[in-house]
Amino acid sequence: MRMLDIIRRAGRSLRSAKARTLLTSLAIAVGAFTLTLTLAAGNGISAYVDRLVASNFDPSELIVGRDKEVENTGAPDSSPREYDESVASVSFGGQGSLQLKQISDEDIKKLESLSYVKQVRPNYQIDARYITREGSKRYSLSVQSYNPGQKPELAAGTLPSRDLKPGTLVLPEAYVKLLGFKDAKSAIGKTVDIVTQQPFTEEAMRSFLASGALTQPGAAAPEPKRQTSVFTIAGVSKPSVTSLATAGLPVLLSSEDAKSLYDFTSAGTQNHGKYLYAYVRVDGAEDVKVANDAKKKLKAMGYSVVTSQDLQASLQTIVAVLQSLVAVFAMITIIASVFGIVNTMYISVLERTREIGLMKALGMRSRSVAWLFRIEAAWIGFLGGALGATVAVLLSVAINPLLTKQLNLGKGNTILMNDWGQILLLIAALILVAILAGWFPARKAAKLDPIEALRTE
Amino acid sequence: MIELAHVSKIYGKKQNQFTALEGINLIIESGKSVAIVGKSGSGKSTLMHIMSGLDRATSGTITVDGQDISQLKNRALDKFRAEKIGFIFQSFFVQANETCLQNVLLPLEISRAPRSERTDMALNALKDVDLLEKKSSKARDLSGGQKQRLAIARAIVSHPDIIFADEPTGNLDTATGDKVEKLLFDFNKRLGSTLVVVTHDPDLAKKCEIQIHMKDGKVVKVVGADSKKGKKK
Repeated sequence: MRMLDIIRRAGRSLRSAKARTLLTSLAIAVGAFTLTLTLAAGNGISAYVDRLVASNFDPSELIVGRDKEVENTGAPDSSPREYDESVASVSFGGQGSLQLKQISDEDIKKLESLSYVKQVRPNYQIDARYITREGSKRYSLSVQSYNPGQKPELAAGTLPSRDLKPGTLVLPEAYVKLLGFKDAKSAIGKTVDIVTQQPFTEEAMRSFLASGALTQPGAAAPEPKRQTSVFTIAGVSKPSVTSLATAGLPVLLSSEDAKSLYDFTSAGTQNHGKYLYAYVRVDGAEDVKVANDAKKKLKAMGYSVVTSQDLQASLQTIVAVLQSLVAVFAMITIIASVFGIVNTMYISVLERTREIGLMKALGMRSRSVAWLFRIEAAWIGFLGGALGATVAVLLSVAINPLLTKQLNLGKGNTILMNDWGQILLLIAALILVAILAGWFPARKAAKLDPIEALRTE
Repeated sequence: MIELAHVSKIYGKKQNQFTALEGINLIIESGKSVAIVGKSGSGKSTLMHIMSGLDRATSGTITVDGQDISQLKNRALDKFRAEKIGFIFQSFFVQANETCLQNVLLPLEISRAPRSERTDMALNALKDVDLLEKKSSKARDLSGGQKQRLAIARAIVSHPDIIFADEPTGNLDTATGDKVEKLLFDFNKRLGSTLVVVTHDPDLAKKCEIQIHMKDGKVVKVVGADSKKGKKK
């Protein structure tokens, strides 16, 4: 018998047992539904992660450090390092600190001298005390140097194509009202004060002790040295829809100002002139090959290097792990439904013993008989797969806007992205699974002795 | 021509052995109508199964139109049945949930007849048994006589050389049984197919040119064969 005739006959005999066919395929449909949604969520989240990384990390910049921890995206290694001048402590709130080798001004010079390096931007850890303005309260803030490769979204103002002009800054939108501006637009061109504070240095302590102040009761404790810098607001930034949402936006300064603030706040400390890492801009590093090439060269020089692809990959790994967890549950559903198919097919073989006997008597080959039942199982797999996938697609179309809103993803980001190729592949896989489930019942049918089968009443 | 030489069929092993057929020698000329008669358990059904390639003999040779079917592999034997043999059973064995046309198409699909000719062949066969107007009805809606006529259409649709009918009228009343018998003999004469009928019914047996009488697995009497065989020679 030709395969086409077998497929048609199998379809017909399924249609004559509609309820049973439907119920059996519903079990598969549940698995197909879950898998389709899992795949869609995986696609959506990984596209989201890509956009997240692209808008938060400039692909032409490599993160270069001295400590191998810079490259570590998992749990940090907190074991003590052998001491040298470059080791400094980085504390993480109340959870203790890491002793890490830092990158030094010397390293910065060395990196700047490399032919393929365009610019080096140390990651200044600026410890600004507060931001204020005449007539407003003081507010805490975080400060970073401006990266022209990664412009923030603006609520008002304009940004230069290169670095910010020294003496100007980009103010996060959240501060506009706090600092007494009417709106973002009216803040442009106005000034704000940023106050920084110098820690006690050895000399300061020494001169304090030398003054004999400790022995004089009631003497005032030494005041730490503070510095007020005045900046003009060049732009007001607002959170991008794909920014890493939990952290507030930093105040952005020109690298010159960032350096001078950093020099002031770290003067005399063991962290002075040392940075956990620096952003190294490499010509054409948007290209993965160029980035990896530069990474290789820098690693050969003893640096630890992270490219934006590395960051992307590590985030994608997390997504993949979560996705495979859900997929495992979907697989279990499908395994359960396999037993349903096996059961249904055995019943079908029993019910149709005489029909099988007749077909074999009329000269149908055992192989064709077996395929008749396998195809019947395949139809069940197809039905279940198509049904589950269709419901999942409809559902994701329906709930996508809701999810985007609930998760605050911003317009244009969808969490459930269906890929037709994937869905077709999934249905094909389910058909295959169903055929395998029908294998033994089909073999039983093929082995029936026609004389015995025809004798059955 | 069907030739059986020293054909035996033994079921079971050792102590449980049961000899269903013992040393059968038979020659059936092509185009004849033959009745195999005997009591239940005489081995007449087994003989039919072995002649038609449904079952295998324990020993002996069965030659059909010069081909020794006892030597054929399973696949070749399936092909032999699909192309050369038509079957009619006492309980019809039509597919209740399929239409008459689909029932008649089954042997054509099995023998891989060209797709373009199938429907025409099937419709012709339905016309021959006077069921053309029922072609789209489900087989379950037919009466007993109609079901057996449908089974006949299915048996003749691929123009087999030999038609085996196992108690074809056993489940039918006399009137419908007569109509079925008439159809069978009609095809036997018109198409020249050899007709082998297994039956209890002496009236049906008498209508055949040759009667083979069986008892306890042996052929005890063959009536009508020699004279006609002689004529042909």
